[in-house]
Amino acid sequence: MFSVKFTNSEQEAAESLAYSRQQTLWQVILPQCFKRMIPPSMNWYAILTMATPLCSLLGVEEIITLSRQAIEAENNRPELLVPFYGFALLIFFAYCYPIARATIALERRFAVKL
Amino acid sequence: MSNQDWTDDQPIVSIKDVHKSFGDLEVLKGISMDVMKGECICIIGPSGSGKSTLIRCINALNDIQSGSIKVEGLEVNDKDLNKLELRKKVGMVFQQYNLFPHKTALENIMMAPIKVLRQNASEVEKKARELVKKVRLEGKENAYPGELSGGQQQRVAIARSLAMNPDIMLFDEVTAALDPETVKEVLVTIKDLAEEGMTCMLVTHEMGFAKEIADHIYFTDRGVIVEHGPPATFFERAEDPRTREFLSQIL
Repeated sequence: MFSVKFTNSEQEAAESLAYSRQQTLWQVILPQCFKRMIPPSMNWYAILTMATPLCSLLGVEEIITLSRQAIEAENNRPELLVPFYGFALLIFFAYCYPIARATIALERRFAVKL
Repeated sequence: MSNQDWTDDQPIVSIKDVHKSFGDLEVLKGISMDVMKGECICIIGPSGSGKSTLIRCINALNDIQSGSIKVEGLEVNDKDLNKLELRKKVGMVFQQYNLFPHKTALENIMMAPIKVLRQNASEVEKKARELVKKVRLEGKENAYPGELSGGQQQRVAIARSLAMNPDIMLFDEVTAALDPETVKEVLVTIKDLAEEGMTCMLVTHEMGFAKEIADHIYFTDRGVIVEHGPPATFFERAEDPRTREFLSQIL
């Protein structure tokens, strides 16, 4: 019945400023989508990283399994527990901390105060 | 191109018998008007009378079913119309500001000239800073739209349109979403523009303002122009009963 065109208001503003479709998409719409995508996608990524040890159940060799195997290879000497798992922790930290920093920086850069 | 035939002494915007429907609902039922260069015209009328639709048709945000709209000789109701050419001539300011929320005030103003007109960035910035001064927003260059008041956002939106160096400015109920105090600061900006000789077309509910700045006032109701005239005659001696009724409710 009604053929009313629904458009995002900023898209309309871009149109009125003589932006082409493609320019509107890249300059106006995607940057805003990207900003909204950061928190949920980073959450998923963190959850995924922390869940990697679960993959060992499926037989995938990941760092915690490898650490345990290394300790076993050294005859399960208890004084090696802390340094070996500590090393694994360091690797986890070295991997996740930059992601966390990058998230904060990105969120600041794309912050939209409403 | 037909717009090369256009000269200053012809109407800069010439609207002839424009019809526009949304589905079964006919919004514009044969509108005609001429606007000369440097003129400031106000369109008033009750909600739903087609004012905003009319103004949006001028820069092809809405298409029309029949009739003709010529902007500097460029026919808007033409399938092969180069919309970008048209929109470089016509600036538009919206009721809801529609600023880009992810860009600062200055970036909002600079984006289109750099990306669309491919002008030199440092020159654009110089001009943008002048525009910021013109709309009286010095010190707010690096604020994001969300940090600005409605009136300030609307003035950024005006500056953003002006940065494209348009020949005509369209204002679609630009003060309708503002509180009474900030309405004034926006109106002052528009008044400055009109006095500098910019061709302005306003849809407004600010009767006092329309009376003050308009060269010509059009009253629309149910998709037709009921009455029009210079403000002095229009407000003092409205002839049509429909116009009188509307004015008596507003004034």
